[in-house]
Amino acid sequence: MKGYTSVVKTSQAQPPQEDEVDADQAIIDRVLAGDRESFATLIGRYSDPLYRHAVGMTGSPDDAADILQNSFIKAYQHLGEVRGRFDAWVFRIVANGCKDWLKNIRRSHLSYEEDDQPSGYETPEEELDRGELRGDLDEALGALPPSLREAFVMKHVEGRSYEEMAELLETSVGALKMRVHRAREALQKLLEERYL
Amino acid sequence: MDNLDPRDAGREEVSTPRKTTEQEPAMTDREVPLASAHTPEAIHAWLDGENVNESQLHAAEKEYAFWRRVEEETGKRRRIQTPTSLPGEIMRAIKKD
Repeated sequence: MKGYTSVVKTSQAQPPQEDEVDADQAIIDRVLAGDRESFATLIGRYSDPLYRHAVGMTGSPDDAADILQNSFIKAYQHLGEVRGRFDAWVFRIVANGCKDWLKNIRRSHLSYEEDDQPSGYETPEEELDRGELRGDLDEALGALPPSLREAFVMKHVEGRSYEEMAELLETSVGALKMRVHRAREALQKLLEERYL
Repeated sequence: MDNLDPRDAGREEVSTPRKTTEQEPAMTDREVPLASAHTPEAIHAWLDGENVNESQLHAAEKEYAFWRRVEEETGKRRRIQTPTSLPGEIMRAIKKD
């Protein structure tokens, strides 16, 4: 028996299974046949991970909502062009929307809205410390080039596997691992003086 | 008009000459070189979801503590949900078309 404990971090988002992909195609067929309301099912199925991506990339819940709305409208207008997985296709529309947003904005400090999760911190000092990390992490993420930021957000905020990321971004697992590692090292450099 | 061809996603990177896909992202998407810290391999492996010997993580105690805090924050962001009003707004916009 080995004399050590092995530690593994488990938090992976799961890509849709084959039957879900088929179900998406059935919904698309219904929408294209004139049942507009069915599009709401696709929005409900995929809006959360797409919204997380947009918030992670923009740092702004309001801008993320705008990007998501515009992306789903484009997806609806071009639904007949879907080939393969709908979730991957609509992800690329959102990802491109985020990149366009980054090109066009001069970014100022942006913060996340509180959610209703209990903090789990014992003291007000710890709570304050957590809030500071949140703001500093936003700022540090904003300093990363878009490709590194995208890779970090997909890995750490969306919880995707490298294989899923490679499929969505149409690049190699090795290239994405390198981007995520570089993003981590840049973030650590930006935050280490205060937090390490 | 917007280009919706998914194959165009990330085209700016593809258009930059690169020797292999394992190289770092193209310099074109940043204006200045990034400074970077040394993050121990065990920390990268742990963050990547690989099995890591606990003693290796404790050998990088400061970095482990730092990344656990970052993971806690990013984990919180992983629970962010779409504003409840947004799907309805999207459907209303679609119906206006």
